[in-house]
Amino acid sequence: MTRFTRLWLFVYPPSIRRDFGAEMATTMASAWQEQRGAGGRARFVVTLVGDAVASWRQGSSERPPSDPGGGRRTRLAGLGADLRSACRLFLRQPLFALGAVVTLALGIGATSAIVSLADATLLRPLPIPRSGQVRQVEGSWSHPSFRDLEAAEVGFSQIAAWSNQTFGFDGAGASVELPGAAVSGGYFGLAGIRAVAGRLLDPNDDRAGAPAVAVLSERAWTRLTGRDPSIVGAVVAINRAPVTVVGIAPKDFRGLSLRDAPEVFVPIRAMAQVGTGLLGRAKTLATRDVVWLNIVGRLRDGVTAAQATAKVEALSRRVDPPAPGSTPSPIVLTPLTAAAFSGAAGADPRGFIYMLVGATTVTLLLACATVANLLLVRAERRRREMALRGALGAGRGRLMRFVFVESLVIGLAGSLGAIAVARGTIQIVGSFDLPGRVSIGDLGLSLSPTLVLTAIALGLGTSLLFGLVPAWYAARTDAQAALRDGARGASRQPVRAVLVGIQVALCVLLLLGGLAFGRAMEHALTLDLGFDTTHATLLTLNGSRARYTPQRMLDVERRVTDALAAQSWVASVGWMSILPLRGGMSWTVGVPQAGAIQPVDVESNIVSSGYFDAMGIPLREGRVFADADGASKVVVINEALVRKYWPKGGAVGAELALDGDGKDPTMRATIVGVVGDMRRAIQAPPAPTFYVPDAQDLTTMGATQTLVVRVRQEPAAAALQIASIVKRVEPGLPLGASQTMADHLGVLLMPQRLGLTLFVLFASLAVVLTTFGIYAVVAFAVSQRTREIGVRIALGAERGRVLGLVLRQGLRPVFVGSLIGGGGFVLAGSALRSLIFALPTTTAWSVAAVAAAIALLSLGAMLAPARRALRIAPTEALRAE
Amino acid sequence: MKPSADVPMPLSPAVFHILLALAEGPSHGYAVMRDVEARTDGVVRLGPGMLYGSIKWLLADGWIEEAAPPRGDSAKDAERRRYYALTRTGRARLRAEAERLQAALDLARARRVLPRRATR
Repeated sequence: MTRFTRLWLFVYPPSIRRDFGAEMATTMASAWQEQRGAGGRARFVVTLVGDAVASWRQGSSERPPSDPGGGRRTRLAGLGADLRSACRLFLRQPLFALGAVVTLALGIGATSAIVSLADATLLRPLPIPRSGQVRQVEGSWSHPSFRDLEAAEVGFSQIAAWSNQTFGFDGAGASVELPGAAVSGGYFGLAGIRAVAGRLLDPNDDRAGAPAVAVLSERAWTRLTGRDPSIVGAVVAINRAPVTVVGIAPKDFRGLSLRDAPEVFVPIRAMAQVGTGLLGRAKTLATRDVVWLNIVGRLRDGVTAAQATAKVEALSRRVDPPAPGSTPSPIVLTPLTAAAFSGAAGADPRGFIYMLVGATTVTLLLACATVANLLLVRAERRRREMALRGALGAGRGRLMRFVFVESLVIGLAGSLGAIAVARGTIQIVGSFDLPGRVSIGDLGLSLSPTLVLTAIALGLGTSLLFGLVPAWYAARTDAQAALRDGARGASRQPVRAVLVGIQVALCVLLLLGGLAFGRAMEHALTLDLGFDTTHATLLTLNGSRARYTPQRMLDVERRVTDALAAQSWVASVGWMSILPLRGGMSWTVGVPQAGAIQPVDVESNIVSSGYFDAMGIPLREGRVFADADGASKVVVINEALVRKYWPKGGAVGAELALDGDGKDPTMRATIVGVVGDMRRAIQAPPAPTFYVPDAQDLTTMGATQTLVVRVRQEPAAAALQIASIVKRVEPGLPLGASQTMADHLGVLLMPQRLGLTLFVLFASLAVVLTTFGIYAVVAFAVSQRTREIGVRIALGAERGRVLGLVLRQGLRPVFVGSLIGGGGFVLAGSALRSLIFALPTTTAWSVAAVAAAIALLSLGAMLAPARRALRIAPTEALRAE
Repeated sequence: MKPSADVPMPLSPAVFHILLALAEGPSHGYAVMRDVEARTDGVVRLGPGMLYGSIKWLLADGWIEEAAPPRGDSAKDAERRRYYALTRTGRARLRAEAERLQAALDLARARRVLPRRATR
């Protein structure tokens, strides 16, 4: 306690401390000892805090000492007068007040919203304990490989595997499709979460022969059953297979990846019952050829990631030796918090978020610089007023308090506005998806109290700092000198010039960012994807959910194709297993190279004979599939594959070994044609791909196929008609959304669109702020020189030359700022390009164009006051003093 | 225009209670603090800052003065603490304040805000 009392003494005004420090310390110590219990002590601490505040108020007041403590009423009255005076000033100069408040509100509000987004995604992506220790083993793994890792000691204290799947769910009166996951027995243990009701899955559920059980998410539980507790223990159907629900997972648990939030969890071994297609076969669980699991492990204490990597690598080489001749890909352990973001085709939203945070920081700085400039200009203008008030007897403390109250009002109004802006921005941003199908709305963004407090602190801090510092200087200046000089004062010209320079630099940065995004967006929209994106519609027929066999699905395909082909508005009909720009299916095939068969990983798609026509993929060589191609093994490959392995031609007629090593002669397929390349992702160049006719490969096809129809009419209307025709042909089949190809691609371009929207928002904000700031400062600077201009003209200077001089000097900080901003963007641009695909290189031209635009803007701001100054007769300018 | 010394300004509660505590005889700061709290049933709580801040003003204005420790107090206490006593000015001020309050009370009784006779 004595140490605390000595420290606490420093909270008191020095005048009291100097005279009574020792006594105060003893008094406090005695009083402390006398307090009984925690309540008494807490009350004493509260008393001390109030006491410190009160003693400052008492100690700093200027009232006569014969009236200790009695001056409070008058002080408050003075504060009220200041407040009224400040409000009156704002009413007289609404533009200044509004400008400052709106600037603060927009700058701080937008920043707060984006910070909350960054917080939700970057800072606390996964609500699992000690997530820093958890590493994801990169790549996909087969079930036996995972079990080997699980059983061995590889430096993990916990290990788990999962695979995201979509399940058909029938139960509790609902029949829906839910995102789900097949998870290993250790999954929930590693995640370290507790069940909301019932229990979660454990290793016993993931044994061979264990009864099929499932865990529902709290969201699904609420949505589907209204939180009916009797669902725990009930039997539901997952993909039409009976499964017992054993518990509910908490709603803030979104799985171990941000990409999909599973609503149904089933043990991996239960996939033998509930899985569909390839994953529905018991054989899949036993083979190392099907890789479909993600693996994570929690590093044992004291084990480094490098040690674990080496152990995992050694084990996986031993149990799953690479095919001879192929180079095994190295084992990489990624921190789960980073891996959680990786979505389809490597779309990583972190890049976007970093960029957004960057853009908002720049906007925030810009807003602060603008407010600072406004306040500085205002302080300059009011030097005379301040001097006058001072001359009339107002003490410096009184003057400062006045400015303080004014800044306080601006800061508070700005922060309140900022909170409103932040709420609005969160709502707008929440309607977008992040790359990798992370819905921002689902992240549960909210304005945290910390954020609100930070916003208020920023608003108040900016307005107080830039309000009080110039006022302090103003109060220090000799009143006589200030009054004699009139309103003119060039003392802080350099400060203002620097601020203008900063403003311009930040504005250029944001404008170039917006420009780059616009061009990236344009690039993405006009990118040749390798197929015809107009006049096509897509519709997914989910035969897996209805437990169709691939054979039955093929029959559906035939009948639907016939029904559609009979329509006059249908040009062609095709089927595919992999949607355009939606990931891919990698397949190891053997390519004949120098007399041997070399296994290579190639993208694949299972398609119908009409696919290429309906998609508008051009045939380059040979032929596409015919309906009769089910009997013999044939494939069609794309140009990328030809370029890689048949650079001299001769691909048509060659053979691919579909078993990977060519040992099985029945798995050899003849290449019958070469088609144009199609992009698998906007970010990546076309990959080597081969196509298999659906009638030929019923084992891997599965029963979910997507229909593509090329139509002769407006595609949106056609999409509806197609859905009703399919329903008529096969009433029991679950259908996905029937949509146009343009809609499908639109969703995929969301990241670019989001980036563009936000950057356009920020850039327009920047332009408004900068215009405002530059105009206020530049116009003021010129008007300050009215007298100088008058003198120069009186002395015989030409008007044109004087005007040139004024403009040149005014434009100098604008040019310097543009250069710095442009240079900064060129530097930042190279970093951004690694994050954003197709971000165009910033050309000197775009920097010049933006700089020129800002220069024009400033010129416009200067011209009016400059011309006014020139028009004044010299005698008048001189008399004004 | 400063109020002249003849027109007494109302005393702040802190000052009034400190003077009241010292009216019974010289005392040290901590005793004043406890006395005030005990007498007002904890309604007025003086922290060290307010206490010594007020003492500073009261000393400077000559309302109180430092005094020798009374015999009864232990030597250890006397060593560590300074004792304060009311001066004549201080006593006059305290009396003036009490009279002002008395006048206010009389007025309140006359207007029947309070009962005419204190019923205890």
